[in-house]
Amino acid sequence: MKWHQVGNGKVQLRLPVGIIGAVSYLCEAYVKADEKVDKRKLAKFKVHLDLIRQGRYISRGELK
Amino acid sequence: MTAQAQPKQHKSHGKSRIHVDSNVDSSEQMKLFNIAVQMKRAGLSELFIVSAVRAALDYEGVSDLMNLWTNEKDQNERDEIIADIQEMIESTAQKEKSEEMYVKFNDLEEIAKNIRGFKDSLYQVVMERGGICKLAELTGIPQPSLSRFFNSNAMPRRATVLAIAKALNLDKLPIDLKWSK
Repeated sequence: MKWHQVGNGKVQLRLPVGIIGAVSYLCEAYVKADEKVDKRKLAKFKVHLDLIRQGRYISRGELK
Repeated sequence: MTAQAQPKQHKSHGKSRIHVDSNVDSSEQMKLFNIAVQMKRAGLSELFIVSAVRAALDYEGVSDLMNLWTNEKDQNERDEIIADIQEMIESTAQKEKSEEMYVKFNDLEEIAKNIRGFKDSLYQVVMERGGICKLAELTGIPQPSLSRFFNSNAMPRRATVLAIAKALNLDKLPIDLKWSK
């Protein structure tokens, strides 16, 4: 998980990163509003990781 | 959770019936079925509930969301969880990797405008045909998912757009589908 403070630091932007093999996958970023949001997003991230492992995902480009 | 976590074995992909030979243990399966009953009592469609259970048997993240839903008291948060489950049902329906258009940062504003315009015009049609509740009945997509769909500028999923179009008997949609996913 990478995160970044936006503005005066009250807003925390989080970017889930899945590292599978030698490749890092940047998944859906979100603003951490509260613990409940964090739990929901992490549950979704688990699904995304499973789908990436199965090769069933949408790619919108690579950073090299 | 780490990137090394093992995914649940994916056995049901493409099958049309719920299977219970998942590697989820029986007590966890019973828990999911009990949540399914609660979802039915809460008025969610059978299509959604069956799809959710099926996905939860294969994906731990969906199972987590179902457990969050059943333990949550706040209705707004529950609605958000339902919308998340629906998103995951749609994500797990994808059968293979797809390469979609790379979106440049400078184009984001224009794309958002395009999507907003499309959703606003579609929303008008929905309102004329009985509203969100009626659309939820016709599509089987939960109302919170449809509300999120119309309120956000996020790229719509093609499957969602097509389900709405089919329910409303729309043969022409004023959207460039390259902005959908």
